Amino acid sequence: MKPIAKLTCCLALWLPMLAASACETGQTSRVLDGKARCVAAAKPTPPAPAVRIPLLRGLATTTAVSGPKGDEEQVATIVSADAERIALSVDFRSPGKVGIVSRTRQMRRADLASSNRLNHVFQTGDADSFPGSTMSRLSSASLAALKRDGQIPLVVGTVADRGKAGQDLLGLVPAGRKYFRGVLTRVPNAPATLTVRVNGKPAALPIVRGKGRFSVGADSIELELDVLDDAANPMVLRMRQDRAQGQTVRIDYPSPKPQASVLETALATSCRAELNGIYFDFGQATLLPASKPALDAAAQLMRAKPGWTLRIEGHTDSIGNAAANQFLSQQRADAVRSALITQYTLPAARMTASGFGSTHPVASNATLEGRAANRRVELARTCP
Amino acid sequence: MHTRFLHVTLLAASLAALSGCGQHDKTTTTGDATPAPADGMADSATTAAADLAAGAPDPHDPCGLITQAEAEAFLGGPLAGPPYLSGNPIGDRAEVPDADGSVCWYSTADNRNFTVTAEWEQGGTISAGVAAHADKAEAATKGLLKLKDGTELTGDWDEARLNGCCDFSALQGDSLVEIDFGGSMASTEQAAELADKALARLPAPLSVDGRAGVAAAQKRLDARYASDDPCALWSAEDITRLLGAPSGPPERSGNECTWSFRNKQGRNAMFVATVNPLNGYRMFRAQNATFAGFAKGINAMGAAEGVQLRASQGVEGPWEAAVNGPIQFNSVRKDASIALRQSGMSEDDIRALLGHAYDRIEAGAAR
Repeated sequence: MKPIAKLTCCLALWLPMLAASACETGQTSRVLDGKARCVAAAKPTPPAPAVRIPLLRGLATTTAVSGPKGDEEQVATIVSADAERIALSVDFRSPGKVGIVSRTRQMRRADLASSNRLNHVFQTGDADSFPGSTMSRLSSASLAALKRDGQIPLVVGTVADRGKAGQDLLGLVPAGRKYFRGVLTRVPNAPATLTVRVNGKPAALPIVRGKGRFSVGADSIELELDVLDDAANPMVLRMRQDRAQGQTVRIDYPSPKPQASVLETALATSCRAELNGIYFDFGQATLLPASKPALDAAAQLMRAKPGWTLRIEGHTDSIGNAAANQFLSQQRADAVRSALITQYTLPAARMTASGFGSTHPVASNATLEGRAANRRVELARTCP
Repeated sequence: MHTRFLHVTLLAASLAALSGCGQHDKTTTTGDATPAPADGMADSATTAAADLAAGAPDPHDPCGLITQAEAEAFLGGPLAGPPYLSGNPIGDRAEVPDADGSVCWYSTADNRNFTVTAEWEQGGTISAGVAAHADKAEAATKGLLKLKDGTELTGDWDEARLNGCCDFSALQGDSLVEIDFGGSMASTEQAAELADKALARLPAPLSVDGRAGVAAAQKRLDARYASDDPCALWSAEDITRLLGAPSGPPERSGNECTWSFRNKQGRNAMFVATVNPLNGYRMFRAQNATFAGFAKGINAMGAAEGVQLRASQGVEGPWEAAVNGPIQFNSVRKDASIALRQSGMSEDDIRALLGHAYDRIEAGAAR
């Protein structure tokens, strides 16, 4: 570029900015038709209210891992929370069997406040409590130090080959947990948010990303964590250990407004609502125990609205064979209907079940969180 | 020199020990260790000499993780001799000096004892193996470190568990330290503190050679009761005099001896005695813990029906301590333990029978 051309270019960039200083209060400069003009300034957008994920009983977190046969999910539910401790229950698939096995881990409030030891796997034979450590979340003090100092010493309990060939990232570890030591360093310029479906709606959760190499003996691992930027619940939303990665895709928790009431409002106004909190075994139509609150809510709604008839719709993501997805979605809709009839003694005539496979997506199937949104159960009311 | 498969079998050994398989193997030799001083721990000069005589020092000697002062504070008295290597905290090889053993044994003159075992690597895998067994065998407790006041033990370790009554294991990184404190009067909290100290020394253990203490320990052991036959404690004449005429010869199974007899009221009666002439303090504690766990389960199941199992503590008799439970009568005296399962015997019968047996054990020891 010749010097004169450079100057012209720079002036073209700078002139509108210089012109801005000439605008009146309440106006701003815009380049319109190649000329700088003063136009009314847009009202500043108020900052989005901070999204909080309350650490309370009933909080259910779904972690997804992309696998060769589709996304695998794991549900962790807070089953109790008091002033002293919280208890987390995680559903694992039984190796080689149909169905799941649940494991519970208690965490002391004292450790949630200040521990620098992060346990990240469940191992066969584990006690219910590991005093001195947290599970799947940093302590409040660790998060604060990571933000303040840019790095924290951390002890991570995991297995060296987690997620590698033959190892199931979401499974119950048979043996070999070690405690790796290292420094977690905050990653500058990392994304500020991670999108997670919270109570059925996509939410950009604020995160702090940390990364580091951790070692014990001759073994070392590289770890990257996206931690919810909330001192009251700094849960790990995404974890990458070497090449294996798991991500929180769905969070459901009891909101102040009962779920039955939310469903009723949606079905009354738009004749359609997603039934959040329904969880199935991977590739199966087996309802997981964590689904109970959602089933309770659906049953409560049906009893409150005896005149309503509902269609229960099953939907899948687009991974795999379309016919298989359609079949699975039908089976899952049938499973919900069957549970409402047999467990809640609701009249069968008031419910139908339909499977739509992946034909009605609500989000992109290109991402873990999008596919998680597409795997869902909806209720549709027969409206006049 | 240590056997690395030890811990994988620890729980199985512990379960076997609970059922009474704690025999004394006198055939084990002491290896080629240099005799240690007759009393007290080897000082640094003699330890160094022992190292030279026994070959290169083992950097993974579990006896290098605890100081003499710490051991004596834990046991509440001076050590009878330097710490020595032994085969196992429980079972056939327990307490028996073995230069190839992987357990460091600390004992006072009155045989209060504890052991230290360490794995510098692969501790996580070993711990998981023990935990997997415990998951089935101890579903009720699963190694929880909850104290009586409801608090939980914490330490510098990354995870810890209590196996059975009195084996405290602590994992740090991938290294494991176990303190078996069943033969001591120490508490779980004290064992946890000791484990923390041992963990801190793993990178640079003290210069203590567990092989150097083997010969002195063998000498002390030789002065104790020698027979591994539990039936040798009572002759037919003894049974006739103490309880009534035997119905036949006794039956031996491992360290168990069964006698059937007609008691002095003319009724058929019998007893099965489980005898541990060594490591009795440890076995007594384990047997009581087994009963407590059993009773807890039964009581939980039977609460609605009013079924409750209870044990009588502090039963007076010719023993240091005894617990009379509905399953068996557990007793201990001078590190020998005898447990009885019986029918048709009064407490007086039990006192007579066990008093005679303990006297025999001590008479045998005094030979």
